[in-house]
Amino acid sequence: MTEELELNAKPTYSESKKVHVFDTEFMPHVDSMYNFAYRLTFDEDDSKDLVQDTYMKAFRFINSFQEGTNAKAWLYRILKNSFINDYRKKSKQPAKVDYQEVEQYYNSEDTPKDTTVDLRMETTKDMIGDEISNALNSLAIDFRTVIILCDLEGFTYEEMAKILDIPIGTVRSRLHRARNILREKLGSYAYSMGYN
Amino acid sequence: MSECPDCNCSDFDKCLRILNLLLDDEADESQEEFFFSHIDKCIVCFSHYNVEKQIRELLKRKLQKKEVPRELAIDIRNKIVP
Repeated sequence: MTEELELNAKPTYSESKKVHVFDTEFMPHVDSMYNFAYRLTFDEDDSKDLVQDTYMKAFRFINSFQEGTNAKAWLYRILKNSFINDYRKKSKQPAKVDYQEVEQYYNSEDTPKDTTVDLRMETTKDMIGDEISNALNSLAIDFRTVIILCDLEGFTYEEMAKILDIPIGTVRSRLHRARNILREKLGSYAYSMGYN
Repeated sequence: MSECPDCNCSDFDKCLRILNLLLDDEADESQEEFFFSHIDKCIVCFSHYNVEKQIRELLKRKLQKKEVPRELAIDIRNKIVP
């Protein structure tokens, strides 16, 4: 929620300063924002709308952004909240997979003891982008998001905690579970390719 | 607490936890030191380390960046300053 984006010391920018901050701090992230949006929506038009909405909100609430702080994380947070609060309500996406349910299911045995049997290094090198992409896209949104933020965008746990508004411990455990599921899915691909 | 099937160290979960921290650049120096000396003697953790590392590299390498519509940045900019 954008109201939550407020920082302790709120700057008040002049109109020209607002545009300057917008251009120098926000605009350089359009490409990665679009990619993030696409990995959430799987739709080009929806991604464009989501990124545009995010930037409009960012400009409207620009006084809540402290110049020189982490603009990318701030924008990601707005985009992720817009996706959850606005976009998904009207989207054509299938019903959300219940996170608790998924979490409980995969949490039953947290440590994958036989990973090396299912997925070896030599099996992954032949995988093509589509298989990796399908495996990632089939994850429940909460799991997919942490993988994108951590592995593709390189955010730290602390930044992810701020973007997702969850404690660092939850980031860590969600990431761990997400990777277990992803590994399992990639293992199935490897199996279908004739490995094992 | 669980036992490692290879080296019989008493805390396999701890190794996996540190492994993830390490690959995410979140481990501190002592965790790093512990883990690298551990995988010298534990083939199970060594294999886990390689698989996890491979998965992360795979994601980065094989997932294509989506081409961004050329007009998107211009449209956004025009909405701010018409």
